[in-house]
Amino acid sequence: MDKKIYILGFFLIISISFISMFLPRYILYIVAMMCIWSIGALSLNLLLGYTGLLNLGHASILGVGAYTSAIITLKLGASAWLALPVAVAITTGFGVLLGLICLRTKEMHFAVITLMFGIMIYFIFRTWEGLTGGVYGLSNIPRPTPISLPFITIDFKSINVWFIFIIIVLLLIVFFSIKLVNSKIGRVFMCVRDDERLATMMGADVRKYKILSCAIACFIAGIAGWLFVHFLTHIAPESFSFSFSFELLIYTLFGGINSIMGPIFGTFAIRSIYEILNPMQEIRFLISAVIILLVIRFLPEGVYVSLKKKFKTLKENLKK
Amino acid sequence: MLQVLVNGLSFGGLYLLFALGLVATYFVLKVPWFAHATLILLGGYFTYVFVNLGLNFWIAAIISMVLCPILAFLFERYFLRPFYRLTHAQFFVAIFSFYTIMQYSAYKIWGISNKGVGTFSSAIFSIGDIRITGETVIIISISLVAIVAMWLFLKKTRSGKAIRAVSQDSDAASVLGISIGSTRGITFLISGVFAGLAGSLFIGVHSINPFIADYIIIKIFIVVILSGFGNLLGTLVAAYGLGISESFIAYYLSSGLKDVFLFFFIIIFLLIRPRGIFEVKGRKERG
Repeated sequence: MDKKIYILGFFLIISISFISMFLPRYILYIVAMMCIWSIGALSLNLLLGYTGLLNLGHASILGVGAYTSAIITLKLGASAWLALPVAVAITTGFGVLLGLICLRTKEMHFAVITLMFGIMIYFIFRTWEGLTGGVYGLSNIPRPTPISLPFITIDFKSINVWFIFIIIVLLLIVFFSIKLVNSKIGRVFMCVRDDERLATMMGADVRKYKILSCAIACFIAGIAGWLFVHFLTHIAPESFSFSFSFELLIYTLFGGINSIMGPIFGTFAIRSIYEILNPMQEIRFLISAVIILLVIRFLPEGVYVSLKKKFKTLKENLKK
Repeated sequence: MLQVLVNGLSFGGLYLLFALGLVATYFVLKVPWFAHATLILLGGYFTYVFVNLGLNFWIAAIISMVLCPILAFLFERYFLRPFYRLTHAQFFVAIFSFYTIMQYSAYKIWGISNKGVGTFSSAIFSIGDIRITGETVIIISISLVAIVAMWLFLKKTRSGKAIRAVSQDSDAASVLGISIGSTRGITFLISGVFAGLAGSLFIGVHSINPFIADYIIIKIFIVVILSGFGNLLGTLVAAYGLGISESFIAYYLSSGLKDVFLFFFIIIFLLIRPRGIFEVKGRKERG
């Protein structure tokens, strides 16, 4: 089984990189951005769908990772590869902080407190002009330095290389998430979500697992933030406003929580709708608002999960 | 020094009026109905429209205090009702969608530029070298009257008692013959009145644009979280405390980094007392 997945992943990467050579830059750019946002949505779903913690300020965690990396590379002149572990360590630290707050509050309060944190971090990005560049943000952020392998040099100036790199990171994170969810830790997460008292009774340290879940989700969000800032090479606070935290939640709910592929499906679906409606850029939040209202009214489980169920019943009917 | 205090009090009064409407709906919804911020925004815009039609500011404010409750009531009855049975995440997203829809409708109708109606009271009182504007006096007195009225309503009237009963345990309340639907309707009417009032006073003092709702929402959240979710005394203390501490931080430390300092204070506060200043005991959580 495992060997099959490795081979499948390998061929997927090879075929995607082959196809990507013939696609225009614009499409590559859009798909790469979709992949970055879907990493964010996936990390939110690990928290919401598997541990049952509703974090309404998740985009700001991405923002913390992105801004940390940008500040380190710009102000200290360090390489982007060096900034990656620092940025991820800081977002993981934020995750532990979130976990500590979450231990002391009930579900509802945790959601509101994280929402408030998200908005406040956004205001900090906007107002701390000496460090974050204020409303205009930071620009001219360096790309990662080229990697020299024995035969080829991987140069991150070309968009094709970036595209393949982001796809590989996304696949690795999906693989890691599936492994995590099916491991013992993942099962404890789900048990905490369904019944905290039961989890305690079975001997799991609920406090530890809640903090661990927050830390893992923020770890992945930090990677997404790092990709975001070095792919775009400029950054502005508007990308991490509280609308975007909800945007991540909308992607997750559109695809369906309790599944790894659901958030990715949701991100690709909703962002494609945005691109089709590109001339109406300014009202895209309005469009996503209406779509998600309809979806949670009529398909509360999410589109991806519902479709999967439909296919399953269809298959069974065909067998009969 | 005292001047800074007076400025802080003026902001505190506004924050109190902002938060009261949300506190009213929190009693029955158990989820912060933060689309309230856009209702405040619409309240301000209604006042703007009627003042531009040539009406007196106070008459325009009263009209907006009639229109906002109607809007809130209709929203609750025809749009929010199908979403009560959902999980927290879905309910939050539903509220956020309403928030976005209202905000962008305001953006489409009135544009992004700042709109103001001019001051509603140009009187200035001087005590020693402190200058107190008539606006400050009016805002503080209205906010105090509003919170006392709300308290009397909850304690003395029949529907107030119904709201408190639903807030403590909605199942038991419905067994005792209290209609949950009409109680929800009444709370949304009340929150609409507060939204109209707060919006009118806000546009009378400052100017508004559609994205000011994001600022309003953060102030409401800080007040509601610090007050311990739906405690009236806590709301009073938290709103004035926030206003005063903001104006002191801006005056003595740095006005640009006001939010940063406030953020760290609130993190530390929440780690020490996560359930607010005055904890509400014996109330069931939603869900």
